Amino acid sequence: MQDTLAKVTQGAFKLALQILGQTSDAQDALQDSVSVAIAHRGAPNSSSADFKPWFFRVVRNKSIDKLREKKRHQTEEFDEQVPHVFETNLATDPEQAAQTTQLNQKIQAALAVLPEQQRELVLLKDYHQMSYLEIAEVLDIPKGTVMSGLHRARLALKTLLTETVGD
Amino acid sequence: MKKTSLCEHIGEQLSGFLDGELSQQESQRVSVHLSQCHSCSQTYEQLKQIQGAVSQTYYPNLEQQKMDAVLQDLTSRRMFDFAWFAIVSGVLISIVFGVYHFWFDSSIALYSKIVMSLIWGGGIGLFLTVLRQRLIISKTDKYNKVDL
Repeated sequence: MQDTLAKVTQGAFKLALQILGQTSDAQDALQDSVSVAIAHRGAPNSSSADFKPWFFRVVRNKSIDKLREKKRHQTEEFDEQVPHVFETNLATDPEQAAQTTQLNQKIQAALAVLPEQQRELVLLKDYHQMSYLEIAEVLDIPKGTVMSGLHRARLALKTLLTETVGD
Repeated sequence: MKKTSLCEHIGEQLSGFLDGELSQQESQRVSVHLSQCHSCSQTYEQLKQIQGAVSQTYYPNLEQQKMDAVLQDLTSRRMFDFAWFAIVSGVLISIVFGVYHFWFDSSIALYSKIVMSLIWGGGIGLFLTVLRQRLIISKTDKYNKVDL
């Protein structure tokens, strides 16, 4: 179980980070999800293909719980706001690195403006490389809704990015 | 080329085509349309570029040390659960055997059995009441995680 978990935990951590925006919160959500994965009797076999979408669904739910909890405690205004834009180390060439960072920032800024479900659809498909069936499992929506929702989300993202480029 | 009703009909299938989620027949239909429609072909290329850009977006990994802590904590959590299970099981078995021997011991007078049972029963009842209240408070108190 632990070996299989280790394979999906970095991806799951990034999903939590994409929802929560703060490393410490994402780590807490991941920790809670790992505990659930160990204790839950209905969890799919860790070596089966069903495990990853199931675990991502747990991480998503825990992250949403954490967001709600934060809102309830009304502490956001006292927290140091960490922007959803991260330093990049993808390119070694400074010019290329600058361009990559700029593109990263544009994409992340545009994603941040999208409605929650559209953002999740785009990230689960294009970043986490999940199939429509897996996405339907993670978001608990019918598989048929995934393609239409994803297309709308991509068109919205295209519009946002075109507007940004136009600025 | 102007958008046609076929373009609207193809619509979301562009994303399905991009993701390789269409049936062979649907894929072929979209492919033929893309070769004939400049507008849809352009949209498709833009969506493809966006997909590539999103897939390259950088999100940091959790540091290995912290990830190890998350995974290793499982072992200590399991041991913690097992230890509690062992303690609670031991206490319950002792109580059941104690009560059984106490009530079926002929050398103890009946009134002593009743009085002792009332005292112990009351004590356990009070303990459970307090425990229940504490558990409810710990689950519902919204300030319990505030560090002062």
